[in-house]
Amino acid sequence: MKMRKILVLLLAICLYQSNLMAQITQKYLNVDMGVTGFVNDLPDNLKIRGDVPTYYYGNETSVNMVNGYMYKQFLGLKAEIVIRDKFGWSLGIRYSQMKSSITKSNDYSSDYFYLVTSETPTSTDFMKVRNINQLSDYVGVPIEFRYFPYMPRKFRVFIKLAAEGTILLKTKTNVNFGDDSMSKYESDVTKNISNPAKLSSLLYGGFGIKYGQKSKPSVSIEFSGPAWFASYKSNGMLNPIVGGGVQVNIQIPIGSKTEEVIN
Amino acid sequence: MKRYLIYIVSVMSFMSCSKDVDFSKSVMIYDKELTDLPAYSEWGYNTFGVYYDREVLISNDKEVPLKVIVTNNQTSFVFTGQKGSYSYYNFYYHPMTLSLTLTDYVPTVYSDLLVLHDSTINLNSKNCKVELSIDDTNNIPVKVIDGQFYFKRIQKVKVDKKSQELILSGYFDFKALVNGKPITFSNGRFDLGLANANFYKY
Repeated sequence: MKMRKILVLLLAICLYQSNLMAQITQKYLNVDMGVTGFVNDLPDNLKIRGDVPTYYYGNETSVNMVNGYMYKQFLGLKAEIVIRDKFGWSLGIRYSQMKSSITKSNDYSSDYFYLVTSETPTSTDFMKVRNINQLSDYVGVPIEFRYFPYMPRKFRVFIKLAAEGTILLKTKTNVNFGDDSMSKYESDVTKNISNPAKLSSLLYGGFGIKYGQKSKPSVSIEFSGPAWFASYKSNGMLNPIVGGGVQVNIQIPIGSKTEEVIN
Repeated sequence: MKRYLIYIVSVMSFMSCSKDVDFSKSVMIYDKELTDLPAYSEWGYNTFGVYYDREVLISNDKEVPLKVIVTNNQTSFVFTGQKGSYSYYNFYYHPMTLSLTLTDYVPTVYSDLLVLHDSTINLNSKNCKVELSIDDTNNIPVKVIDGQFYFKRIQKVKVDKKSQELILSGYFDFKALVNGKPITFSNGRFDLGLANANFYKY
């Protein structure tokens, strides 16, 4: 639903742009790279035995002290058209790698946690696990809209609205056990771990600063966020809630064009 | 040299049989509503608690919360903890033990208790006896008026493919005459590990 609203908004902006009486365009090639971290939830199907009594922290605190970490790093190439020095549209291709990790995060007990690997009403099998890591590679198509509120100068601020559709290339889940000799039972753990969906989409906003002259190479750095996955539960072993990160763009002008369009 | 080798082998074999230390500890996670009692759980947290009228009988870190004693053709479940919650204003420690004895039930090894999974014991029945000890007063007579003890779940636990223990989880409630005085034990719950170390047969 959120995705649909964003797409309608992007389309409306696009139509508005096409109806401008005169368009002055500047074309760029952008190399972008960055990292986005995600606040996340542990999925319900992972059952982990708690080991920290509540009186250490009070009743409101989590008792198992196992945390999920999730971040995405990416590198891509985009073509951008800047219209009337204010509106930038870009489309490109991006390789990204998502790393998700579940690990113990307290000093009050051992450095591993007890994960349930199988369960019946009268039996439960645990394995001691130090951490679980999932690495997924994607190729994606980002579409971004940038708005520059002020006319060209050396430093320009901008805001951004963007979406990215991605295809999963490969994923690998790795388990580090409390007892290394248990590594032959890795599949007992990974069978309970979700793999990412083949297709996913990310919506994100952002704001930043661009440094450089209009017709010369420039660089922009931006805070990218908030970022949401369109589907909460399709991203592998952790469920991302919201993300934020940093993106750097190196922008190379590839020619300019002034054109008159009469409606 | 040979003697040292025997020592090393003995220590190593002891370690390989020993219970996982994390499963021996108590992990007290309080109930969000009945905040004096542990929350009901089935993780083997080695806790129990029950209201004793308005007082609390609750497990602690000092005592072994459960011992199962099999002797003289009867089996006793001995719950040891303290009277009163452990809060900063509660200076005095009152050890308290509640024991439930079943006659004509004689398990051979601790894992035999798995048969009690999802079973209810009527505490008013003739083959069941409840006793209480508070401070230094042992075997306070308890005449149960009405109540039951429910072993909701008993599970055999393995850690890293090795048998670890049984986890006994459930609820209990009863009314009784304790030294002739009517007392209600309410909202009792337990989540306790049982292995060779706390199973006694003689």
